[in-house]
Formats: sequence, C-alpha cells, structure tokens
Amino acid sequence: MLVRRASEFNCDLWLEKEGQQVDCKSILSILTLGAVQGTELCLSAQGDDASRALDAIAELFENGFYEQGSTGADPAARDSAAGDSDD
Amino acid sequence: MVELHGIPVSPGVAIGPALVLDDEGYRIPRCHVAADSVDDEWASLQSASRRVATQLENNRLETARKIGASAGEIFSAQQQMLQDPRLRDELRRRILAHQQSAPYAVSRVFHHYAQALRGLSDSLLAERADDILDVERQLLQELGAITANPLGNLDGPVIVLSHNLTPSETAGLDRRWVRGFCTEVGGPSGHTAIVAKGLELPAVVGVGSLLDRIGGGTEVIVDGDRGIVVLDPDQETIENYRRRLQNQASLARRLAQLRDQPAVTADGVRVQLSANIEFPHEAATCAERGADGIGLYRTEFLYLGSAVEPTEEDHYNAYSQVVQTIGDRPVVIRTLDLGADKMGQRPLSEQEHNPCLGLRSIRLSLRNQDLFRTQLRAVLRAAVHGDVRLMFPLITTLPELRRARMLVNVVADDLREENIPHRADIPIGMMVEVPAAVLMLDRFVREVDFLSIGTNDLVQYTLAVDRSNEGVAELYQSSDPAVLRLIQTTINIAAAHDVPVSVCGEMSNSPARTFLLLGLGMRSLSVPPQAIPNIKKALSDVTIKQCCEIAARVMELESAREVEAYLNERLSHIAPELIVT
Repeated sequence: MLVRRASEFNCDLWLEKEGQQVDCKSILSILTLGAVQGTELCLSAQGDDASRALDAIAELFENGFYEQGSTGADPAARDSAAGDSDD
Repeated sequence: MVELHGIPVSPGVAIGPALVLDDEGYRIPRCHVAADSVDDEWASLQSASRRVATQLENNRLETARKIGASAGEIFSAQQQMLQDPRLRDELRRRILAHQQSAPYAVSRVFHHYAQALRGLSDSLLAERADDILDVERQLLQELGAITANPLGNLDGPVIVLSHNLTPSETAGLDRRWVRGFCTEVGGPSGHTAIVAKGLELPAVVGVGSLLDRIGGGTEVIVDGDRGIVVLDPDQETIENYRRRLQNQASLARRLAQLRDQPAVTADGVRVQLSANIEFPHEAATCAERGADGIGLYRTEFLYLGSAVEPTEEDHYNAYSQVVQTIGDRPVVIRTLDLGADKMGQRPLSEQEHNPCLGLRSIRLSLRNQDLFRTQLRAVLRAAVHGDVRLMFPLITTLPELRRARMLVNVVADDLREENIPHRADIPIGMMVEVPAAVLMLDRFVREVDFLSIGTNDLVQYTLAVDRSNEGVAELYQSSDPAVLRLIQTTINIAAAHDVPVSVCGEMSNSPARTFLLLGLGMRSLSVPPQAIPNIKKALSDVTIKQCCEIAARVMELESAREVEAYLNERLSHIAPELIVT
C-alpha cells in the first residue's frame, strides 16, 4: 500500500531507519529495512510534488494503513513525518 | 580439466553430464552472453516478466474469488516485487553492463534480497523471503532456465552435483538416469552416504566449493573409490576411467561365482556374513549375493521416504517382505534411529543445539511411545514369518534398555489379548555404539540376547567428532586405537558371557579392517550388500593365524594413520586383487 501510494508521485521519496535510507517506491528495499511495528522512521522527499507526497504518505501512516483492526494512528507506529521537503 | 578431492562414500565410477542443483534444488545456469546480444537478453527478461505478471494477476483474482480479497493480496505483493524499480535497475545493470545471462542475473539478485530478509530478526519479514524466491522460480521457468522439478523429468543419464542432498532427496533420485552424485558438504558416515551405498550410486561428498565452477551439461567423472571428482575431463582421463570400469566389471563377474559358497577363511573357519539394508527391495539383492541374513535392517527410511507417517500395516508389510525374501535366515530389525541428521515428518524434537547428543534414536522412541509401540507391534507380528530379531540403537544406560524391553512385553500382551498372530519370544539385542555401554557391558550382557557394534556412532562418540562436519571429518577414523580398544573390550566381554556379537558399522566394509576384526575375535560381520562378494573373497585369502598376527601388531600402534598404513600393506600382500587402482 505504501509503495503503491508512493509510486503515484513523481518526486523521489526516501524512508530512513537508523541512518539507513531506502527508496520508498521499492517494496524489496523497504522489506529489507526490517521495520516492524513501533520502529521510528523518517520520510523525506525531493521533487516538484514533494510536499503533496509527504502529506499523502504521512496520512497513510496516521491512519494505520486503513488495515482492519487498526484504530487510526497507533502511537507506536507513528512516523516522524516531519520530513524535510527540499522543494 | 579440474580435479577435486572429497570423501568417497559410495564406491564405483560414474561418467556423464552434470546436473547442477543449487540450494533451492534447481539448476543455476551461470553464464554470460555476447556483448551484441545483451539487448535481446534484456528484452527476453522483460517479456518473461510480463508473462509472470499476468500469471500473478490471474492467481490474485482466482484466490480472491475463492478465499477472499485479503488472501489475494499475497500475489499483489509479489506483483510489486516483480515490478520493483530497484530490482529492475539492478537486473538491467547486470545484463547490459556485465553481460550476465538473464537467468543468472535473476538468480543472483533475487537471492541477494531473500538472504537480506532471512537475516532479519523479525520472523514475519524473514518469511517473505519465500515469496521472493517464489517469484524468482516463476521468472526462471518463464526464461526456460529451469523445469518445475529438475530431478523429476530426466530423459538421459546425469551426474547430480549439489551443495547438499538430504537422505530423502537421495532416496528419491531416479535410479534409471542418475549415475552418481557429488556434494559440496557432508561427511563419510552421514546418512546420505549410507543411502548412496544402498542405491549403489558412486558418490563423493565434502569436495568444498564446486557449483561456482561448473555449468549444467559439463562432462563429469565421479570416482567413488578414491574420492575424486573430475570436471570437464580430457580424453585420456576418460579412457583411463573407461578401462577401470571394465576391470571392475570383470572382477565383479569373478566374485559373483563365490555367491553360493559360504564365507570361510583359508583355514576353514566359518564367518557369519550378513548384510545391512534400508529398503525392503534390497533383501532380494542380499539373497542373490549369498548373504547369511540381514544383520542390520535400518527402518528409518519408512519414515523418510514418504510424506505421511507410516502405519502399523506399512511397517508390517515392509518387514514381512524382507523376512519372506530372506527365507529362514535371520533378520535383525533395528528400531527407529531417527533424530540428529535424520528427521521424519513430524517435528519429533525441538531445534537442538547439539543434536548428536540430544533427543535421538532410542531416546526419541521412548519419549514418543505411540510411534514406538506401532513399530514394536509390527515387528512382533512379522516375526511369525521367519527368524526375526529385535535390536535397540544407542542404548546408553541399563534403565533405558529395561524400559524398552518392558514396552516389548506390554505390546506382546496387547497383541495376545487382541488375538493377533505374533511371536513374543524373539531374541532382543542392543547396539554397542556409546562408550558408556562398553564400560557397563558386563551388566548389559546379562539382559540381552545379542550385541552388535555400530562403529559409526561409536567412533563419533569416542573421538568427540561430529561425523557430518567436514571441518573435523579428518578426525573421524574408525581405525583409531581408542575405538579399537573399545571393540576389543566388547568382543572379550561378549565371549566371556557367551553372548553373540557382531559388527554392523561401515567399518566391516573394507577387506583390510575385516582381517583386523577377525584377529580381534569377531566371527560375525554385517556389511552393505554390494561389499559381500569382496569380503567373501578377502576371507577366502586369509587364515585366522594371519589375522591374529595383524591384530596383535595393530593393537600396539598409536594412531589411525599408522593402523591404516599397516592394514593396507598387509592387504596388498594377502589379497592384492582387491586393492582398487
């Protein structure tokens, strides 16, 4: 879901965990990040629609990916989406 | 031409084209393409990728319809993996810049990701590795690089090369086409080796890194006599090996003439020469080769060879077949020796840190009594058809032996109450394969009808060597003086108490060691069926006096190396014909 949403934007989107940065449009890269529920992640973007992309992804995290059983923003799974948009 | 050295585990020579299996059990076509065809290679990968995407979409819709949308999501995750931009970049780079073939690039890149996932501590994420490898497999199939089951639809002779083969994989090899095999890892007495002998396939294990050096179809020679594997041999080498094959065939024909003669030494001492088997069909081979009986019937393969746990009837039918084939000669059935490197369908024990010292063999049987009783019932029932004897493996303490014997009594009572034909009075014996059993043997002999020395485990437990660890396999020597002293002690105590004793490990399999065992007082040997003619011939060339001289000299030596060198020297004097050249 994350990858699908990220892929809708033209900008480069990066997900960072403990200094390790991966392409947010690559499911394999994200999987190998080993981020389980409760992991602190940092999102950043670069490109013309970067700020819209950041908002969209942040919304996804806040709503627990709209998964069944998830009740809105799980505080443990909250991203630190205060990402720096460089546009 | 490349010559590699490993551990010979099953004798004979095989020549043929290689079938290379990777860890997941299929071919790795490691190759590069010409610079002017990299664009075609990339295009073929893209079209294969589109076909896989279509399949995944069909799977997704089908699964969603049958089970529900969330189950279908598995396939949409796989679709995303297939279309992953990073993956695509990496594949493009390998093919266009490094001229790798599409299948090879796919195999490397997907394995890279799968490995990264497997390394994660979260088990849910680690399991996604299987999804990745599943996409890889489909891509490779679309590229025509693999068939669904490379071993399942062979149409010509092959030599199987792989990192490792499990015993059940070995047992499942198609005997019509597989001529021999060679693995990167493995030790001299692992059960894969034993199965290879059972199938009479030349095999060499533990040759080290091998798969990187070879592509499918390359000519390979497996020399299971000397532990040599030759990749891409030159014409002269092939000719040499062809000549050896012919010599061996003519020796085998001459040995076959000994078939109906009893095993006796040159001075007329009769030796009981029985056979070790794992599969019921081998009983016929034993009868053909003139075995005096089955000295060790390993029953694990009932469990390893099929997908479901064997029933009492499965046990009973297999045992009855063996007993009826072998006629009035004795059949020693050993109860389950599962665990350690052999496992059945159900997880009988937890992951163990030290499985060789763990819950295996008789310990596992005593812990899983439903399984054990099923087997004991079948043995007592099959005993009405002939001379059946029951043997417990890995007995370490007296209470263990008593508990196992008591279960036999319980099972016999049940059968009597149920009015099922059986025999309750069959001889019961134990394997001597733990040093503790040797130390307490004067007590054990009062409670058993016979003993059988299992040299494989005895060596492992005496010398503290994991027999499947190629790092220490060198230390694993059945002619180590410490092991020989334990064997000597066992024979002496058995003789003093008039309890029959035999040797059924792989040790009795070499003519030279046979001389030593005879010299130590052994008069009963159980060997792989194909070794019977050889051993019979060796016995006919030697006198007990010579054997005693050999044993006296050997017991003064201080290392396995000295023992081996001396024994080989004696063999070349006494029976030069049997030395493999």
